[in-house]
Amino acid sequence: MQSLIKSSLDSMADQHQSLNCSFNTVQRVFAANIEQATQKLSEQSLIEYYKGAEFLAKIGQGDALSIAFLKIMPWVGEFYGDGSIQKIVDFTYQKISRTPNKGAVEPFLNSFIDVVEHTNNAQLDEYLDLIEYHLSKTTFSVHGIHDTHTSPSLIAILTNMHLLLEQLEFEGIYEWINYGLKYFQDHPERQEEYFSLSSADSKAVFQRQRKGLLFSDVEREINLFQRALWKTDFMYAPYSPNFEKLEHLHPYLEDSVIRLPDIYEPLNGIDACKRYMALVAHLIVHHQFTTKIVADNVSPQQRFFTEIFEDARVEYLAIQIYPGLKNLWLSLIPIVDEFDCDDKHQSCLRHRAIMLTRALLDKNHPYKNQIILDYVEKFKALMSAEETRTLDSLSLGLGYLIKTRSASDTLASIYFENTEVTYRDDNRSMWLFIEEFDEEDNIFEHQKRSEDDEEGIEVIPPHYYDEWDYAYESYKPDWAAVYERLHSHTNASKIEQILDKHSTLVKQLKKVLDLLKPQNKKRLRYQEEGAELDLDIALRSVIDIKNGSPQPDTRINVDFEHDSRSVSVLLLLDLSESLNEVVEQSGQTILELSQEAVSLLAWAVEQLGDNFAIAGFNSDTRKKVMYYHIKGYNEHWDDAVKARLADLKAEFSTRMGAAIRHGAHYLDLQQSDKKLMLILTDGEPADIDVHDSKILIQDTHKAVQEAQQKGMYPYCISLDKKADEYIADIFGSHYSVIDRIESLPQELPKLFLSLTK
Amino acid sequence: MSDFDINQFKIKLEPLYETQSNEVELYTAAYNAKLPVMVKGPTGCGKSRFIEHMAHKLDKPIITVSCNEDITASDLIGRFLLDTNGTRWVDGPLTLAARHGAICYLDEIVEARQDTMVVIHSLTDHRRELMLDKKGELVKAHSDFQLVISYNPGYQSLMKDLKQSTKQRFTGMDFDYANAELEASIVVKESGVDTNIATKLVKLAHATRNLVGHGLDEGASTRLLNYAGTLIALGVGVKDACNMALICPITDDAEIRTTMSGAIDAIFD
Repeated sequence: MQSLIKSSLDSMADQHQSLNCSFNTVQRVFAANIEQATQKLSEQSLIEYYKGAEFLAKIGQGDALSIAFLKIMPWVGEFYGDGSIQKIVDFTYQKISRTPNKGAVEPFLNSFIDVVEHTNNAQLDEYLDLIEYHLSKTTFSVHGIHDTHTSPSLIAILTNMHLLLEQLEFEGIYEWINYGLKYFQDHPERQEEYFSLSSADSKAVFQRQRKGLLFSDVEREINLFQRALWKTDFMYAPYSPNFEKLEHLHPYLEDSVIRLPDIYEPLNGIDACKRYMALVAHLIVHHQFTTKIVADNVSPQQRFFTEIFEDARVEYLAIQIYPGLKNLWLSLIPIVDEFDCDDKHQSCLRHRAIMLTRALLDKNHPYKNQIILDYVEKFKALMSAEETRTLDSLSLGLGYLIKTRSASDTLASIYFENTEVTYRDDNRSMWLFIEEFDEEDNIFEHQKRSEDDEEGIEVIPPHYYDEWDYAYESYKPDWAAVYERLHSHTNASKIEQILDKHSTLVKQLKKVLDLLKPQNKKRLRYQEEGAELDLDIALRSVIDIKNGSPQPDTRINVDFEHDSRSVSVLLLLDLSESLNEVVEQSGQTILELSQEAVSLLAWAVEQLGDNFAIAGFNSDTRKKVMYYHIKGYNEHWDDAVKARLADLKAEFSTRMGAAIRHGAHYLDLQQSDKKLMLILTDGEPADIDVHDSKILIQDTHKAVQEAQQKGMYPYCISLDKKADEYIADIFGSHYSVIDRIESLPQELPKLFLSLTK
Repeated sequence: MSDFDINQFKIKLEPLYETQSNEVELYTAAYNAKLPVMVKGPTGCGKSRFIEHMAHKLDKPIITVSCNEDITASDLIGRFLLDTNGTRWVDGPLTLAARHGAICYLDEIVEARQDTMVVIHSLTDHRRELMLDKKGELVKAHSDFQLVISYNPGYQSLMKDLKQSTKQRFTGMDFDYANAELEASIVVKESGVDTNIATKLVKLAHATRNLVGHGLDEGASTRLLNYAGTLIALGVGVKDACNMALICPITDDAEIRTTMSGAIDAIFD
């Protein structure tokens, strides 16, 4: 039967030696591909293949379409089955070629190379629907009902299809597309930028839709894991592998920072959290057991195999302590077929390496290769010795390479499939390069350089916060970057002088504070000694006695205790440029007045013993929102804090929403019944990269709402005489406007006290 | 009162205790000199067990009072009770021990309020006497009487700390979890699991102890290890037993639980 079909196909191929098409170029491509097509396609599909190629050559768009079609469709037809080629031809003609989007036909056909790879064979319709959806939303007409303008972004999205399909589910792609449509539908250039995945927010939205578990969701677990098992405290810097596709990134540990992928999917039945554990465990045991050796006289191949022995050595040592790690690691090391790699045509370096990797760790490995077996024995012998060193791995690695070296090792075609152990690092920590090479790829370098930090302080990675866009009624993801710093300091005596200057006010405040200290009284029952007799209990005891009970309760009194205050307060200071203005009445700048007010307030709060923090903020576009810690919750009102407060500087703008979100993040961690966030500002939220003032006002309002939802009480003290125009939009009724700025030092502590009464 | 038998407070069976260093000699010396002793250490590291062990070794009765916030001075000293004929005095545990000559062990003394603790002062210095003010009697301590308190520095907070005036009446003995090997052998003896399992249980306990201050107030105690060992010896699966006896009791934090289940997987193969 099969031979029958085969022969009929052969005859058909003979019959169509030349396609019914007058482009010579097409004929040439056809001749080159027909053999493959005949092998791959069923009879039905082959007919569709012929018809399609002929049809596309005749629709007046030159030869390119048919050429792309002829090259790709054999795979597509084989993968999706009968009818699929016809469906694609119809779609191409009806939905793309007859619209203003003619130019996108070729990229569309080419996209199937990736589509076949990343979808299953029932998903063709889903893919076509996706493209149709995108087209219908982005092709538009200026006048009339017929679409007249090309979709600015179809080609962009098609060229990125491999990334989209590889990293996202269809649902995620729709989300990503919808976000782009919402913002850039009427803005062709930015639309194209968005859909070619080159703008920052496009990447941010893309990241969010990815499948898998984000590292940040398990960071604490992983952190506790390394602390529990190794008492280590390495920091993390996650990287996103997706946009740096060309350089393949590996995790590594350097300068006490662990670099790891920011997202993991389950692999071989190991969930993502466990994969992170495997990775961190491997890095830490390297740190524990590996000593650096000089790399200069060791060739890359020698290094490669040395690393395998070294990885196995440190893991062996770790397994002696934590045997369960073995199973975890083993399930992440791939098993390849021993004879899968043909060393006549391919470089089998990686194939040999992965077999060795497996064999060194797994007693029940399937490999029979004598050299591997020999070296597993040598490794065992080594590990049974009392003490082993990284240099031992070097000698094993060199020996193994010599034994297995083959001429094909240098071939360009490398057996790569399934030879990567994802949890292992690039072992940069074990080599010492005496000569300087530029090999190390430090992908984080650009972050360090990007900011002009004159003082050269070690940069803490920024926190990213969403920003609310009222016009589109949605959040712009990871929009504002907040950098936190400890505020610089100077001489603390300035603050002491301020307190001296206001000594009368301090005395007044003291009186108020004394009144405030005793709060609600709490009744303490069951007291042996107390203020009053608790009649209920006393009666019960008398009855017990009458009944002859030997142990009546003698705690028949009730006493009263002052309830303690459980308040956490964050004072958030606007440190924008406008604070440098001089207030006429007093001759001081607003900043100086703020300083005085904050000093008094801080002093007062310290007297009350409330949990209190002070922070300042300013911003220089969304890329640099600075958040300065002036006083931490655990710090007392001491010289260190005063010194920071004395050094306040005012510069840049007021991106208040991001600062409120960051402040709320820390305030939320405080454990008290009441959380108060006082915001001291002299103007409306604004920044130089935002022209619509309403955006930041609405965003701040949203940030305030978010804080309220978390149980905080944001309250604004505005020094802006014109604040009435906008402040209620942000803070509702929770604000005071201080018209006489010079009275701020008196007003602020009083206001605080009345708020917390 | 004359029919009171203090010997009922003697410990009949020898409690299992593994000596860590020279604590037995130190305690014996303190007892012979009748010096009050304060034992410090984290929860479940064997403080109470040690005192019981010593009482048995010295063949002295021991009266244990577990302190709590509501304990009052009269709960320790004693009180008048009304009965059908009028009133009757009943000695509290401290008075009993002082009168009849026993070791009085006040467990977790920081839990008691500070005004309660001061009643022990006169018994702990050269006077060795206890004034029963309500009864108008001065009890001179029996020559066998000794006062021992236990104290968990892990709780240290502003509210719960001993006053200097109290602290400075005691000699101190520091206790900590036994070293890994010894702790494993304790687990073997107490619960009947083999050394291999016991060693791994101890490793897991060390993992929890590393997290103290990072979401855990205290790590898993030797007592919990014994529970886990006992469960395993009864045939419960190792991982289930660890979860039930070691992880679940010490934390409600979901993230720490995830971490610890990762640690269990890493330690037990």
